[in-house]
Amino acid sequence: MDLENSSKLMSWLSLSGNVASLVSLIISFAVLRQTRAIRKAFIFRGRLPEFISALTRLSASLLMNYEVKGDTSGDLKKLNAVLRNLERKVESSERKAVKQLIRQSGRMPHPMVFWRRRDNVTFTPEEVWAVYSGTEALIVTLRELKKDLKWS
Amino acid sequence: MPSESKIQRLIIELTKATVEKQVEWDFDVPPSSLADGNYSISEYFQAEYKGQWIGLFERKGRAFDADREVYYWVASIILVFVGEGGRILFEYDRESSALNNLYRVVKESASDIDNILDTLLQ
Repeated sequence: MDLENSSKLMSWLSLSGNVASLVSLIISFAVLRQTRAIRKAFIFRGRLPEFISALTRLSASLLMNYEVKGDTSGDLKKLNAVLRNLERKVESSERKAVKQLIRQSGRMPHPMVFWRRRDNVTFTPEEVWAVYSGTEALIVTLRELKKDLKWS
Repeated sequence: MPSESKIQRLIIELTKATVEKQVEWDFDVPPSSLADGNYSISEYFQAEYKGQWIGLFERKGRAFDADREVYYWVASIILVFVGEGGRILFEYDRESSALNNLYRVVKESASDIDNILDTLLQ
């Protein structure tokens, strides 16, 4: 009888040990996820002023080169590179606008219309103005975000 | 107060119209209602856009930092809608890179810098 009781106790202990391991694994993953989110938010907060100033500089340069030379390809490439970096750091609410601007400035079609590739075609004035307008709107959004972050 | 996005849209539209020479800006005398003893207006530009008079200028002045007890210089670009008799209907003075770009484009357009350079280089 004692042997049977101790065997039952052992199997209960073993089961509860397994459950505890599973729970701690889940908690570990949750903590890991939280840590990554905090790290991402911290990096974004630290680099936000840098992104705003880079976008402001590139937007002014884009307009000036459009006016003077009519050639904006260099500025658009630089802008695209900054936006790609920014895309990985922004929250999902701003990511949509960044993605759209990446597509516009990098001359990439929407993922749903992948067959309409138009590489090696110069940007039309309307396309350049759309990128300029989108960049300025993004700068306003990031500036507002910077103000909000001061209070959080 | 109009929404920020509408003002931004207008600023972009004005920039585009100025670059494409669809709107003509001129140096002008600022309306007297803009005069303020604490600030000075170095250059005032005005243009008519879709039947509305629009003014653009840089306001410079000194401000006081109470924490450090020092005066410092401040400059900001201001966009105004001008009504009958020089009345200011609306003033937009928030920091905006689109507005800074518009100011530069307008300054070049009003001074007709291309024409001056062409004449000098003939």
